[in-house]
Amino acid sequence: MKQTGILRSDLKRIFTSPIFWAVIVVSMICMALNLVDLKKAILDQYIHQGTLNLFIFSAVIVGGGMLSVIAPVLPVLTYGTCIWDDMESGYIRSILVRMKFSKYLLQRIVSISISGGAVFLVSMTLYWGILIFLDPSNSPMIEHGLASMAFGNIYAYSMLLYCVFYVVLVTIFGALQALLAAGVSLLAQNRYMGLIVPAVLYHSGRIFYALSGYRVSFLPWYSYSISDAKTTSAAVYYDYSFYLVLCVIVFVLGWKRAKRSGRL
Amino acid sequence: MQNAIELENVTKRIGQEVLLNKINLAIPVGQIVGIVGQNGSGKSMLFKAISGLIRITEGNVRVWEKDVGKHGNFPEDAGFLIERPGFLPHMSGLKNLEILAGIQKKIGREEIKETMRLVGLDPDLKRSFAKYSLGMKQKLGIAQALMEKPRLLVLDEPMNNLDEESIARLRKILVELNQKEKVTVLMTSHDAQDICTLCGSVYSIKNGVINLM
Repeated sequence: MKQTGILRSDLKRIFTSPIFWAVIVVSMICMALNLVDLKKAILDQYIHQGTLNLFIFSAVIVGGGMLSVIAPVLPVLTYGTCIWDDMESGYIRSILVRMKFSKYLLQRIVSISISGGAVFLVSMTLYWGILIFLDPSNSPMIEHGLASMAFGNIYAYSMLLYCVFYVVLVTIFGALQALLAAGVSLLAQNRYMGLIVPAVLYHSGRIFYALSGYRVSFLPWYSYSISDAKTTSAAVYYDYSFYLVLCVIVFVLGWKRAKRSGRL
Repeated sequence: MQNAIELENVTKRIGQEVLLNKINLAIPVGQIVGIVGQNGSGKSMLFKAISGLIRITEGNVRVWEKDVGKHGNFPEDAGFLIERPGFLPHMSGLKNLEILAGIQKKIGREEIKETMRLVGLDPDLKRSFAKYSLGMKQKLGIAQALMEKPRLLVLDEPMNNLDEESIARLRKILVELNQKEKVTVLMTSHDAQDICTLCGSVYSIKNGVINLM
């Protein structure tokens, strides 16, 4: 039997969702506020910083400001808890009599990841576009100490590549955060726990890193340098791997609990 | 005669509790069969087993001679209404059905609208599902089961929340589908009149055990 599944309608729902676009606007406003603050501080030194410097200043440096506080919540809002929502409403029954379990899960995982990742991918790309419009100059690299931080070698090689790489990392973070929300909502059998717990975990991690003095995580807006670029970059890979494993474990446990709950 | 549904020694246990106890059942093609039982007797669990939504502990479920529930297989050419109908709350009825119909792409927008009119819903109504009355929600659930014109209908309490006129309309639809299209129907109802007037054979289920009445 020919089955196209739910992915196409999911993507349509995500990209036409008012929540998705509201989240993007909020994200862009936070980055713009960072830019205003930073420009005030450095205006005497650099009048025309150029697109890439402005992007790095406002999106990467000094922990992301306000965005770093609300960023863990943003990717989960559009679609993070959709599997739980399907179960809670009974909608999942209408779907699963039309397609295989495995296909449903796979397509939902893809759409949840896209919904979370796209929040940052779209907002940062749009923001970058606005910066190009505001200041299209291609100014030389400014010494912010990034060369000794995570992926400093990429920065030293090309500011453009560094910005692209950063956007990709943040996109992956958004996808993982949304998947974690899906798992938590299933595990806790509660939509709101799914929305809140990933952000609480993220900020608990930040506090833990800050207190322990071991500030090497490069989950977005964690980043600090402790020794050299190589060590810090390796720590980023470990952190992302840990986050991925955590997502898988929580999701599998959540799915098993949800199936036992009798909501199917 | 070919059977639309065949259950062999179907058992479902959760912990120590036996919800379905060695159920053997064959529903021949073209019949309307009723199942009666009190709340918690196992009716919905039986329907979930037939639809492949739950994994049974023992036994086999076959729909149209194909195993269901194993390896995530779902019954083909069948429409289901199980427990309360669930849809996306912020979307209209038509949009909800379009998304579901988009999974298998058997039918288009016109067929969906036609089914909605058949059950007494206005397909052009912009109101979101969340703002539907209970009766309208039930009708949308029935439309969802009917829309792809399946050869088998499995309906759990389809008359719930419907007014007299809608109940009469649904009875007529089921009889016509059965007589003209040879659609097989398995249904439950609290209303003895539904069961008596519609069903050729009736089973009762109690404590997970099924018997022909």
